[in-house]
Amino acid sequence: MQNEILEAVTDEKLKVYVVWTPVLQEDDRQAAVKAITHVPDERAIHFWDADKSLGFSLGKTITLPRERELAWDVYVAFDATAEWVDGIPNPAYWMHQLGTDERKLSGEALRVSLEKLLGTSE
Amino acid sequence: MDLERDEFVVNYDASQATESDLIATIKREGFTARVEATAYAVEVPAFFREALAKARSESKPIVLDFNASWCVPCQRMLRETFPNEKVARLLERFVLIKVDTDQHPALANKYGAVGLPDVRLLSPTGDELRRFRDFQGPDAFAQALDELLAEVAADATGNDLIGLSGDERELKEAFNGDRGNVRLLLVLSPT
Repeated sequence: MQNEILEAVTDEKLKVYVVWTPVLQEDDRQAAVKAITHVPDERAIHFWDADKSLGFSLGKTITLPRERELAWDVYVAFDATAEWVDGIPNPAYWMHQLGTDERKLSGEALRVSLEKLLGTSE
Repeated sequence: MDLERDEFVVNYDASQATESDLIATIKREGFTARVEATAYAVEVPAFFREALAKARSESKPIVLDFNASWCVPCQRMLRETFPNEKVARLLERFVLIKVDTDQHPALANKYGAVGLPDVRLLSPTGDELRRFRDFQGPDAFAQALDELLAEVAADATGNDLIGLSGDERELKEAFNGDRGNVRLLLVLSPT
C-alpha cells in the first residue's frame, strides 16, 4: 500500500520517514534491515525504534482505535510548517490499519490528502 | 591459423562456440586475444538490458533463469517452483529474467549457461551471488531467495537503518531539517 501511494505522489517536496518498530515476535533489527526493501522510495529515511518510544509518543498525539497506546501501522502526514519542539507535532492528516473506523487506511484518501498538502506548501 | 595482422576482428556464431573456446584456439596458435566489451552490447537483447537497468534503478536483486522447453527440471521449476505462493511473493522483490536458451543462444553463451537448469541470483548491480544447477523445489528456493534478500538489504542499506534513541532525536532532527516540505511518517512492523 505504501509503495502505491509513494509511486503516485512523486513530488520531491514530500519527505518520508519510515520507523520500523517491533510488534510481532519475529520483529528485530535484522528483520527491519530486510524490510527496508519493502519501501524502496529514495525519499525515505529508515529508522529502527527498538523500544517503541516513537510509537508510544505518537500514540499520545493521535487517538487510536480501541484506546490503543502504541501507534503502529499508521500513516501520518505533516504540513510544511510543522515543527517538532517538545513533542511530535499534531499531524495534518493520518490514517491507520488498526481497525475499521473512518481513519482506516485508504490509499486514495491518503494520496489526495498528500497532494492537497503539497499544493498548499508552495 | 595464418595471421598477418596485429589486430583483427573475429565474427563467430555464438551458438557454435564460446568466447573462451575462441580465445583458447587463438592462444594455441601462439597469439593473444581479448574481447572488446563493446562487442557484447549488440548481443544482449533489449528485454535483458532493460531488466538489468530496472534492477539497478529499483535496487532489486535479480533472478536469472536460463531454461529451455526440453529441459525437464527447468520446466518443473517453471510449473511448480516459480508459481508457488511463497516463492511468488518473494519474487515480487526481485527482477525475474527468464531466458529461453534456444531463443537466445548467444546470451546463454555469453553467460556460460552451457548446462541446464541454470538459475542465478544476482545483486541489483548484476554480480552473481548464487547459482543453482539442479531442480530447486519451492521451499528450498524460497529460503534461498529470502536469505539473498537479507544479504542484499544488509549490504545496501544496513548502515542506513538509523537506530532511534529514547528521545527520538534522530527523527526529530530529520523532521525539523526538512521543514518547508510535506512530511509523511510511517510506523510499521518489519514482518
